Amino acid sequence: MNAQAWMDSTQGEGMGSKAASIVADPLSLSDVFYDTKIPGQDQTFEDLSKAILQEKVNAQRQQDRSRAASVITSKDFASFQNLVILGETNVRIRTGILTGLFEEIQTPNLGGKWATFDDGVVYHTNVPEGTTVEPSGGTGSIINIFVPKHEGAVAITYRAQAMINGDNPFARLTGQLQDARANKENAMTADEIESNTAHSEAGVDFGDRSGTPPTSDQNPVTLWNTLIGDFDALNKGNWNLFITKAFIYNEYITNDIIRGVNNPIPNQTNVNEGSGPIPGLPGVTWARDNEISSSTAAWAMDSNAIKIFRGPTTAYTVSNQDTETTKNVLRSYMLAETVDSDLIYTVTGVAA
Amino acid sequence: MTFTPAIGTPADPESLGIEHVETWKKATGGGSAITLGHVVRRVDATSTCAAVTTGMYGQFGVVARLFPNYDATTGAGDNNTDTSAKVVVICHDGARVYVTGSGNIPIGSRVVAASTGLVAAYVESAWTAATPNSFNLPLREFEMIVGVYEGHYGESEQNGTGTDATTGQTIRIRLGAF
Repeated sequence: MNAQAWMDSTQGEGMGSKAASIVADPLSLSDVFYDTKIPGQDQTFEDLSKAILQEKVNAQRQQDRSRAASVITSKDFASFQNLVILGETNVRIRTGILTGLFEEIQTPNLGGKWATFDDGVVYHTNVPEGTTVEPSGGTGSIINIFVPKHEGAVAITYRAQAMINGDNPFARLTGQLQDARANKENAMTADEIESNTAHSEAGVDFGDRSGTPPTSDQNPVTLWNTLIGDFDALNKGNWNLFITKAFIYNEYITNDIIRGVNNPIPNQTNVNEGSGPIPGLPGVTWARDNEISSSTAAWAMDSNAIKIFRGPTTAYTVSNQDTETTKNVLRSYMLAETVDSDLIYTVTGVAA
Repeated sequence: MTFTPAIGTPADPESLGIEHVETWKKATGGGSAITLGHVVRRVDATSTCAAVTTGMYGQFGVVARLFPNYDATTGAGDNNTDTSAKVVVICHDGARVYVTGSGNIPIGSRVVAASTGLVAAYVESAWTAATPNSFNLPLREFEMIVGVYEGHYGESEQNGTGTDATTGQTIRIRLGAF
């Protein structure tokens, strides 16, 4: 390299970063190299320098990215990016509590008869000398029980099972069949409860308030005593169950007469699908389940009034190689039936 | 219940298999891919099928959500593309599959072809002594039946829980006249 020529090109700066910035035409830098051939090659130092500088200029002029550096970003290699499941939000199927309130009767024959008796034995007093009394008796009635079948199924193709690797929908949905069954049985039990309207009693709105500041103006105690008298007069059964939607219970426990107006308001929680004793009424369980459709009525009953008749429960799998499918089936037999409607009272107007 | 099957989904394993899954011919060229779940009619003379329009009669099938019909989401499958002459369909009497309804359809009514690729409730034509003046149209009316409307997802004709359909809903039909 001609050192003097280099100093002249860089205006005396020589080596250093400042030197490069002074040169207006980068290609002129090649003039500092001697026109001497590089050992083993058929080009001079000047030619090689000129070629390198020209390539750099071209790259800068054309913005040729293939000649520049690059950074691999998340948009690259898209086909190589795997699906990563970090977690999941599952569907919750409500199973309810109503079915569990009543006695289960095993019905392997899927049918039968339920008998109820209405006895009318009479014992006479002050029977006159020399005579006797008329015999007395009773009667019975039969309810026919036919237990229907219920089913749920999940099916999948072989190909879907092989290709879906971020989830196992077949296993997950099969596991949900049990909850779905319980949900439907709870709904059928609710329908049976609410179908009983033959005997009713007018209730009080537990949550009603008036005045300034508003205070409860309905006393549930009168209602409780009325219902106690109703069941006592039946000469059978025992009032032990009170069923409503969930919010009605919260209205009752915040009733100022029940909690005591100077006491703190009880904690408000979601009491749905729960049961427990009634404050002020021991011996009766209050069951709350929002599967009950009525928002104004309650059902006071002896739990023996309704029975759950249950047949066999079967789970099986059908695998068909021709259609390339697998199907899981859950089959059950169940009936919620009122066996003595005298033991159920519909209580109206317990909420507005 | 918020889940609704996509149209073209078979209702049960019994709607698959050699009895109900076939590969039919289709046209090729731009725009010839047929929407999954659309009802198609195969023309006897050409063996080629296409999405139905109102008034069509003949052999009916439903473009199936089955491999190897092309799936734009995953990119899988070679059938039922603009360049493919094949499409997998669910067909023949008894197959049960989800399609889209057009107009109101009473539960259990027979359905006929509607535009484009949809089904509508069958309404029997009113013939007089003079209209038509040949046997062709009355005889052909039987061939217009695509199937029977069974209900929405979750409804069952077996336990009588089906409800009438309104326009645009995903509904389940059983292919065949009865």
